[in-house]
Formats: sequence, C-alpha cells, structure tokens
Amino acid sequence: MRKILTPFSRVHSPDCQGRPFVLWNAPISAIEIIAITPRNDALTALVRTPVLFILLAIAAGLASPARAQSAVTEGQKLAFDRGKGNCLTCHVIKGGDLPGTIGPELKDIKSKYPDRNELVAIIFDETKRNPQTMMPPFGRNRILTEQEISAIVDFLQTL
Amino acid sequence: MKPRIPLLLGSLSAALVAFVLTSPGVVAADKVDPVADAKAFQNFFFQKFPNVKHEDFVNGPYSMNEDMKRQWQEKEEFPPYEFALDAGKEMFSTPFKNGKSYADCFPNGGIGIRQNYPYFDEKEGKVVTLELALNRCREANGEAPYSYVKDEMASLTAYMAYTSRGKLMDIKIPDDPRALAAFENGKRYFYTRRGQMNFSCASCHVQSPGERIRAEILAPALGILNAMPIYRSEWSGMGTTSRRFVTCNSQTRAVPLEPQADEYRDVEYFLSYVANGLPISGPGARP
Ligand code: HEC
Ligand code: HEC
Repeated sequence: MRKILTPFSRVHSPDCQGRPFVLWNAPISAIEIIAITPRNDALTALVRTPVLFILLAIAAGLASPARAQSAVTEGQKLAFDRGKGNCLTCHVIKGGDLPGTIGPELKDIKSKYPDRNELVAIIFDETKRNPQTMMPPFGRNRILTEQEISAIVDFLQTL
Repeated sequence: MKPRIPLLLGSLSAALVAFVLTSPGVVAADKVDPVADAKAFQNFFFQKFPNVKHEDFVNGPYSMNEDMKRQWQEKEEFPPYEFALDAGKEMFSTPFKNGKSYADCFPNGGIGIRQNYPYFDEKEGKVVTLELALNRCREANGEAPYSYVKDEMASLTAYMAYTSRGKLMDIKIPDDPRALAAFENGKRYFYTRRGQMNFSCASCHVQSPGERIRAEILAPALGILNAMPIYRSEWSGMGTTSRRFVTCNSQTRAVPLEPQADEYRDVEYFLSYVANGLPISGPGARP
C-alpha cells in the first residue's frame, strides 16, 4: 500500500481536518485561502481516520432510535445549510430554494427506503454503493456527525 | 451486503480503495499515450452532447444551455471584460523601465500565440504556462512579478487571448519522458478525488457538465481553458486560470495549491492538450 501511496501523497490531500469550512458558492479571496491553508500530510490523515470512525459508528449504533419531532425540523435545517449538508446543491427537495440537478429529487423516500439504516448508510458514505458517485461521504469525511445524519434521515422520511 | 456492515467497517479502507479506484494513473503509468487519451476524451464529450457543435465546447457553461447562451450572446454586445482588455493592451505596449517590453519575451511579439500555451520547456524540464511566462518576462526585465490571481495578470492574458481568438489550440508534447510524465501527472491530478467533499476535477467537469450545482451550470472539461481568463459576475471581476483552479479546490474544501505549483501547471498542460483543435475563445464572460 505504501508504495502506491507515496507518489500520491504529494498531489492527493484528503484534508478532512483543520480546515475552516468554505461555504460553497461563497465569494472567497484566493489570497486568503492560500495564506491560511498549509498542506496536509495525506498519510497522516489516512492513518488517523479509521479508528475515529469506527468509534463513532459504534456510538451511533448504541444510540436510542426514538427521535423527537424537533429532530425533523433540525434535520431540514442541516440538510439545507450550506455549511452542513448542503443537499440542495445536488437535490431538489421540497421547501428548498435554488436546487441543483446532479442527484435525483428526494421524494417518496419512505417507500423507497423503508429501512432508515439504508439512508444512514447512503449519507455516511454513498461510495460504498456506488464508487463513482458524486455524493460526498458525509459521515466518513466528518462533514456531518452521526447525530446530524440521524436528524437528516428523520427529515428525509417525511418527504 | 447490508448497509450497516460497510458503515462499521467502511472507513478502514475506504479512502485507500476510493483513490485507487479513481486513479487511472496507478494502473496505466507505464504506457502514456496522449494521442489516444485526447481522442478518447474528445469523443466522450462529442458522444455525450451530440447536439453541441464541436467548436462550441470552448464556451463553458454556455455550450450546455440554450437559454443561457442567448443571454450571453446579448451580453457580448457590451462585454464585461472590455475594460480588462483595454488595460491589458495598454500594459502590453508600455515598455518596462529598462526600455524593453513584453513583446521582446515572446515569439511573434506575443501576438496570436495563446494557443501554444502551456508548452513543455525542455531546458527546465517543466511545463511553462502563459501566466508563468509573463511573470518571468517581468522579472527578467527587472520588474516585480504580478499576483497570479489578480487583475493585472488577467488583463495581460485577456489581451493575449484576444489576439489569438479563433486560433486552434495547438499544444505539443515533445518526445521527452519528462513531458510525458508531466502530461500523466496532470491527468492524474485531474481524476484524483481530494478534499473533504471527495471530489475530483472530473466529478464536476466530466461526470456532470450541463448539470446545475445549486444555481450554476457546470462547464464541460473539454475546452475548459480556451476561454480563460474569464469575467465572472460572482467575482465582479476577472479571473485567471490560476484563480479558477484555486477557487474550484477551495470551494470544494480541498486544499488549494500555490498558483503555478507543478501540479497546476501539469493539469493545465493535460487540459489544454486534450483540447487541441478547438478554438481559443478568451477572454470569456460568465454569469
Ligand atoms: C455533490 C452532489 C450531492 C450532494 C451534495 C448530495 N447528494 Fe445525495 N445523491 C447524489 C447523487 C449523484 C445521487 C444518485 C445516486 C448515486 O450517485 O449513487 C444521490 C443519491 C441520494 C439518495 C438516494 C436517492 C434515491 O432516490 O435513491 C439520497 C437519499 C440522498 N442522495 C440524500 C442526500 C442528502 C440527505 C444529502 C445532504 C446531506 C445529499 N444527498 C447530498 C449527489 C449528491
Ligand atoms: C464540486 C464541483 C467542482 C469541482 C470538484 C471542480 N470544479 Fe471547476 N467549476 C465548478 C463550478 C461551479 C464552476 C463555475 C461554473 C462553470 O463554468 O463550470 C467551475 C469552473 C471551472 C473553470 C472555468 C470554466 C468556465 O468556462 O467558466 C475551470 C477551468 C475549472 N472549473 C477547472 C477545474 C479544475 C482544474 C478542477 C480540479 C482541480 C475543478 N474545476 C474542480 C465546479 C467544480
């Protein structure tokens, strides 16, 4: 593995950590960005990632499935928030403005995915189902926490 | 497989697997064939968009959407890059303090040569872009280099592109293993996923051209540099190729490189080479 990785670590930076969020479509000054972003060491990032995620995943498994109604509202907020799920970038979702067209419209979700774990898995890391997908691995790359994903799933189930 | 299982085991190897899968460079590193690559690249877009005239691919998002194209053509009557063009022309013809000028640094006095950039410099063993060549010209003549992402550089390249409009992109890859390596490296950079969002350049510009990402229509990768530099309303100003690369990286939460870093030079080499035969259309205007 190391052998394949070494030449890539220069060009490929899965920089999941230590970066201030840049909102999509937000006007940004290129200069500023360059100044504040030292390049990460890809190898370190890859090594550190798995342990944390397994812990997170286990913790989520233990959490209670019962969810308050307010989670739906919270989930919608997270799904629409440009700094969080930003799902509207790619999906038409009822109630959201300026949707993109990269993914399918999110509707009739409950009939398509009766098992909420399936939805959790899609949001956590859709590259598992489809390695070519454009959908970001929200859980794996820590864009969203387990709790946030869970709230978004509650919201999706109302669509 | 049940979704729960990958969820638990997923991260262990996901990052590694993902980029091995999405990095054609790993498998094909020993047989670099730019001619075949360019042909396949062009055919992919020609087949995916059979109704787009080949020379129209150089118009970015406008090639993908008729309504937008009409609005743009109306706007072209008073193009928003005009001020940059005027400034660029003025700058280009004003001598440096030592009496020389940009014209002295370039073939044909710098006129009508945009289609030959970037080129592979066999002395340096690296790709030289137009922006880089302009700053080297300044420095060789005792002037401070310009920022790669700001207006002065955009104005200069706007003027040089304008004098080359309609000329067909004509990038050469000399018979030099380092040139082939640069091409291959650019290709690998283009197809490698990176950043928190896990996008490669190809995710947006090969997999999804013509789709809307929020309100923006994604430009096709074919001919994507022919219109540079571009005026963008979102920037309320001009942007160089360097600026666009940095912006695409940072907006997808990937760590941008320094403008004119080797990888950016290589990706520009790759994207320009596969656009050979398509006309220069810069400077461009974008919504
Ligand atoms: C950059 C694009 C992008 C973003 C952002 C995105 N998705 Fe997706 N999504 C896709 C694509 C493309 C698919 C189609 C399936 C595939 O590619 O594997 C998809 C599929 C899905 C599906 C399955 C839909 C079906 O009908 O089978 C769900 C559910 C989903 N996404 C939810 C979300 C949620 C929730 C978010 C935000 C937290 C989100 N997506 C953000 C691109 C995206
Ligand atoms: C998640 C999406 C995304 C990714 C990943 C991405 N871009 Fe872009 N890119 C955009 C958007 C949005 C625009 C502005 C609309 C347009 O012109 O496509 C754009 C525009 C461009 C343009 C100008 C095209 C024009 O005619 O206006 C270039 C050149 C470009 N991108 C190159 C790259 C390169 C090189 C990479 C990888 C380092 C990359 N992009 C990665 C979304 C992306």
